[in-house]
Amino acid sequence: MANSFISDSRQLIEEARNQRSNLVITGHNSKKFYGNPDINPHLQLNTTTNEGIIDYDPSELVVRVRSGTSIIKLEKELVARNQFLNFEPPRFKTTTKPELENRVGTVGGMIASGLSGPGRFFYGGCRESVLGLTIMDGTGKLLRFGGSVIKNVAGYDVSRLNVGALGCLGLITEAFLRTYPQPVSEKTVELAVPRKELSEIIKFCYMEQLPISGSFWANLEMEELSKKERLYIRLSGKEALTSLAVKKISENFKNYTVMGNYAKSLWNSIRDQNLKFFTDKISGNEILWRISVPLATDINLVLGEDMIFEWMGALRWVKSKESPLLVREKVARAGGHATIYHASQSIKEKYGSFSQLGDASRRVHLNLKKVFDPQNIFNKGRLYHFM
Amino acid sequence: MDKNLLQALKAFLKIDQIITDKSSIQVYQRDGLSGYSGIPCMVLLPESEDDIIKIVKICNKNNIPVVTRGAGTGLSGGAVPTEGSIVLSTSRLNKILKVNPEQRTAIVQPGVRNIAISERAKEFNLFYAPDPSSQIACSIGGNVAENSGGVHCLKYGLTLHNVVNVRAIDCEGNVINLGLESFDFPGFDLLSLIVGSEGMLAVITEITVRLLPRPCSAKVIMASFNEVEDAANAVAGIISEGIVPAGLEMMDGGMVQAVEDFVHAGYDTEAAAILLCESDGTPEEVDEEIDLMVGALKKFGATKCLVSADDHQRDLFWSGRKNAFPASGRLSPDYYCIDGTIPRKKVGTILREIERMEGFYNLRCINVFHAGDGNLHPLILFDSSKPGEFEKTENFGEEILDLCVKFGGTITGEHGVGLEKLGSMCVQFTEDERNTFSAVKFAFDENNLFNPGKVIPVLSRCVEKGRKHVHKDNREFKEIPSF
Repeated sequence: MANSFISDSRQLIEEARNQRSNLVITGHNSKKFYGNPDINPHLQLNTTTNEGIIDYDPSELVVRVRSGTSIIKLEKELVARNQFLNFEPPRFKTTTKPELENRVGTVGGMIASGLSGPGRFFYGGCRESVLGLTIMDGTGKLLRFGGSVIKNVAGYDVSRLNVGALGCLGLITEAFLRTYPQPVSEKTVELAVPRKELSEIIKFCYMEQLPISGSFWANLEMEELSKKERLYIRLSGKEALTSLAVKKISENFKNYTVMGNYAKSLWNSIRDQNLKFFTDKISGNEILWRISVPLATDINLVLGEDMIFEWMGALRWVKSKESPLLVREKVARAGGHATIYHASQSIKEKYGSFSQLGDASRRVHLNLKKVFDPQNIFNKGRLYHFM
Repeated sequence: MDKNLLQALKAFLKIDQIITDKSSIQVYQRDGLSGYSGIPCMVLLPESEDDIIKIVKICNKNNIPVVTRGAGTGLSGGAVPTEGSIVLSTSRLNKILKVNPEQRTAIVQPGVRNIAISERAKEFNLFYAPDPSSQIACSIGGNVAENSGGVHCLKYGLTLHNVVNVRAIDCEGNVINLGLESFDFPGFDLLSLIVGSEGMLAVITEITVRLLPRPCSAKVIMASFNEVEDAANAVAGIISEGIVPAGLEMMDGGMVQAVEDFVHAGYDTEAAAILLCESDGTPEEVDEEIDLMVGALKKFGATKCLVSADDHQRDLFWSGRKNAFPASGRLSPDYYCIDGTIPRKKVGTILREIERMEGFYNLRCINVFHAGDGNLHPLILFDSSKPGEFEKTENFGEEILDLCVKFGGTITGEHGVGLEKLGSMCVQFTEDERNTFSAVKFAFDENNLFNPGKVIPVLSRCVEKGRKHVHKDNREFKEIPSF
């Protein structure tokens, strides 16, 4: 099956080149909303027949997997061996049909989007977990970069170049991913924190070097999972470490609760964004921003009607009607970048999903695109209109 | 010497920033890899980013290659200048510009020594984690160029995992920013390309590194094994028990004997192999983890486990490992150090193969490993004064690296390709992959200005080989611990 996928893909790439057509790479289509809209007309290359775990050795902390494999299927194997993908890739629901419940994202889409969940702040992001990739370039050549070992400095890191590239540099066929042991102990604490106190509390938590693997605060209630203006902190590590962390919190805060087992549902919902905050339709000139800023950035940098803070304030989700140029300017000055995550097609087309690049960086982007996709067939315009 | 060139440089550089006399240039002709050298036309010591921009523009205009040099401690010939090139030394760009404890970042110039960052961050209870063996001397710019590792990279990651932003000058003299101070950034991951690019894509002028909470406590276990295979299995076993040690190093019996004779650290010379397994964190966390580690080590055949009682004993346990190189230099007039990485489960197999090769080549090889991440450093002992011995050593080393690739590993875990491993790049990568590397290089540097001739072999160089040859322990930077 895998062999025919390779030859079929090669054929489709050849067809796209001959027709000078856009070739859109899809898996489960769970991240279709992310990035600029696909340019029509286009051919489609679906990866879901390229499926399966090729090799998994927990003692090596590495799994080799085909790109069309469902994230859920992969994680099931890892969890069975008490391991996981520590960057917590989101699984976005694409259908309500129970028989298709595994269609929440493929490994290829996970890497191409580079999106990470709550654990990113503590463990690292998707790119840190990609050890190697096999890609098919725009001429149909199969190329492997990186491999199964963590320490590998031979040549340039072309595999990581493809993380977050939204498929613009080639078709990912296989990946070597780093796995990680599940933490021995995990505890979630809920603290009542009005917005004006959020900065101070966040600062306290990380100056105390608490082992925080997840953090979440919203200015509105979330479907019986979380309350308005509550800071949820997930502590992970050895039992001694998490117990000590809870003790430190108890010594400094009067109103705190150690949550029970349903904390897992909360973190899964945050990871998978199946909260109404994310699934409600965005219309008109409203934008749901994904704002990524350095730690300790002013909480009031960009405010909106509805807001979520994660990664100890370094990741913010803000619904706003403020001028997109102004939002991006403020965020850039703070040292970060702002992605138009959900918005109308016309807004995405006008402003582009992602923050603009500097001139020198743009030149390199164009040159690299030519290296891997000389005829610009892969996911045209998905990342930037100039590509 | 082109007088016009010199004049153009003197317009903005002071006299002491330009080195042209042969005797002063000598030290810049090679890096930490002896056996390879080149003669540049001059050495420049810029003191600012502006100096670098002007130098690059002049060199680009005049087609003069630029070879950037940090502290010159590299072990693969990456900073060896090509004939007629200009060496651009970053030694005067040595300031720590800012430490931001709230952001947990530090902004530093490329010539700052690796250890200086942790020394400065200590007051905030933070540290910079990647700790290559040469950290008292090596530069952070060089670390970025090589994607340096160190003992603690299994737990804390390589340089790539600890750098958030790099500011550099491209071949046209423009500033290019790769990364942002936030946890991610838009567009292609150009930061991943420049880390480990061995000075071939741009000249780095500023680096933002991530700082981590300093562990307040650490203990190391010295575990003895009767069989090398047991020690190798214990390495895999510890990881499969869900433990990620702060450090996990292995030495075979030959190396243990060599270092014990040298430093008298109390190593078990009866052991066929020993493991050094470290835990760090809070005292409670360390105690919990040490118990787990001792349990795992014994389960996989450790005959003895000694846990360091205090920092002094911890340093003593590590001193043997850190002195592996000079200890080896006492055994033999010459030694060759190989750098390759393999999956952990293949450690036992490759050691058996190396033992077989010892018999075949009639040369002794003693081994140290960053066992936790499968990064091996076999030291082949030989005498260059014996006819044919050097060639045999080369063949021995090449066979080890070929095996690394065959086992699913890589030809270089941390020292880089440089000049030394050009030939082995032809073993690890196909022609299409090597062509892609060339194309990536030209995507940044269309005139092949920066450090030409390194990393990516041209056809003729597919037959070239090289290894780190040390004669009579006459190593570069002897005072620096070597892994």
